[in-house]
Amino acid sequence: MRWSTSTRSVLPQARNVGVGVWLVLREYRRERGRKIYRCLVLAVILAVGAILHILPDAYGVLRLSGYEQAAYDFRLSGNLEESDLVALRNSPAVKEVLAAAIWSLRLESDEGKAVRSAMVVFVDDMAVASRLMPLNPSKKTFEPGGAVLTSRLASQLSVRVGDSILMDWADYDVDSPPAVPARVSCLVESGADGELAVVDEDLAETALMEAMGKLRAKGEPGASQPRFTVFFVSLRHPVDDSWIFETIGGEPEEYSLEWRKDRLDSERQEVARLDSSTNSILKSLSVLLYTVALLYLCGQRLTSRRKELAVLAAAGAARPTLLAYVLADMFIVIVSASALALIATYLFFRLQLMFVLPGHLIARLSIHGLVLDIIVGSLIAALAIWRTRVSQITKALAKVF
Amino acid sequence: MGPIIETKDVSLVFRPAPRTCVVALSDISVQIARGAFTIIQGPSGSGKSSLLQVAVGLQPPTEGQVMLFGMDTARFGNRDRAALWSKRIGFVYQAFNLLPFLTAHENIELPMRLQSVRHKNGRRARVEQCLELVGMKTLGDRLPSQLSGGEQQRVAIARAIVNEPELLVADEPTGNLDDAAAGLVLDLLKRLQFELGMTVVVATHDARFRPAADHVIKLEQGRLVSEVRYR
Repeated sequence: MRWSTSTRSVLPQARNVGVGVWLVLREYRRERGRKIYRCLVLAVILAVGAILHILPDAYGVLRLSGYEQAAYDFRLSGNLEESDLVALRNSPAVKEVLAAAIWSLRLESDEGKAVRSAMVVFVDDMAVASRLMPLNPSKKTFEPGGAVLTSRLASQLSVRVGDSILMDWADYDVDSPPAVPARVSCLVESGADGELAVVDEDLAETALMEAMGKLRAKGEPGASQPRFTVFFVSLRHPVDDSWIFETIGGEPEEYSLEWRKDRLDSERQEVARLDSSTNSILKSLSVLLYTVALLYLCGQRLTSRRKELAVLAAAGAARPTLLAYVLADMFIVIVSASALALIATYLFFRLQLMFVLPGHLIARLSIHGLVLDIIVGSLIAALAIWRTRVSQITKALAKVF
Repeated sequence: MGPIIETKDVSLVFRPAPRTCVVALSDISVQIARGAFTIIQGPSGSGKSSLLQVAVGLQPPTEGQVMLFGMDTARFGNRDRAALWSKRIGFVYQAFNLLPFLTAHENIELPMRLQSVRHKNGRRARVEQCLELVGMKTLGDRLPSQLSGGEQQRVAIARAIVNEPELLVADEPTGNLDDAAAGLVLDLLKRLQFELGMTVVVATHDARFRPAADHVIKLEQGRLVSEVRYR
């Protein structure tokens, strides 16, 4: 019996690569469970690396984004009264003022399921608050008459947008103060100011004033609470510190003045300080983790496939086929594990850091961390494979006999 | 026409550790004629597999020269070796070494893919022929794990011969098989020699091969102790 040889032809090396890829695809089709398991293990390693990689970035964003997005120029704290507010608002240098009173209150979910103490900022204009305060990096508009909670606080109280909360006195044992109800109109994702609620002053004025009256009558601490405790001021043109105190007619030592630019600079310095130490350590650790994982994967692939590679070599597989076989497998594993790692990293930041980072930012940071690490790790791993010689494989073949 | 394999004073020494030296082959000179059914016999550790490996270029000899198809194996590059193994030599192993994720059909087809046989129909027809030759026509779509040892070895033989090699090299092809399966494999190898004119070289300690052999090389402790040519 003799067979025709007319169908034989020599094709370029691309054909050899094609055979390598064909083998990998067949392998994936038939050994799906093992491949998925390997993929999951690698995905966990990659996700840990990505989390390490982007933690410093996430920290930087948390520290800075609130102040970067806020539109106030300075913040004045102290015993502030209506007359101070009027004086500032009447000045041509001032564009906008948000007057707020910060009170520590007890918050309850409407059904009384959860109770938390939190700082409540009563603001005289919710729309201005959404622009000026360093609480709203995503620039959501705060609805007048509603309450805005940080996502962390909402999660602790188990409330969502549309639910109601009750605000009550926590620090002073006032007899039967009326609990003030407020409908949650918006959640903000910011960790910059911790657990905060921003509430329209109109909503609670009567009740709180009533309570204030009781406090004054009892002579309790806090009875001399001022009308406002903080102003956020946006300017039309630059002014100096003395102008501010002249305008409100007060002494500098009675107030605390903080320029947003100064605060931002100080936050940036803090983040930069972290950059130079922890950041480098975490990022190096992350790259190291990736490299070790990928090298292990390559080594494991080459070792576990030694027999297959040897048999292929004996069947006449050229080096491009053998390389394509190993590299295509690694490519598929790395790409699918990276996709899983991206999802895992995203979920980690969403769930573990309690919504403090906006989703799109987490996705951007995760992709950034993963891509950088995978490029470095893959280059090293590919180099290791590239250095594998056919002679090493034929030695393995000798052992197969 | 010269011998298909010729070894001249071939020695093979392994050094598994410093100051340790294992002599696998010592001054072996043999000639294997084209078209012959040659068996290399000897007890375990006598150097049968080593001689086979050296003869087909899997191992370079420590000393001596090996001529394969009239070419010195010491001068083979990777491409020469790949071309030779894909076109002119077929390997059959004791442990079958089928790729576990390929069906019998795909395992047999693999060397043709590696040799860039383009036409799918041509490949399929040839695989069918090979499967028929080894008596496995109905089992082509099974994975190796779904086949018995004897069936796997027959698929391995079909894979080895699919590219019509001139030389078929088998290392203990019946080592993992029961008597009935071993008999089938022996018959198959003999048929390949007769019907396709292949040169078959088998390293084995299975005495059933002896009556079928044209040429018997007997080794002991890496040395050639006897060589008998029947035809």
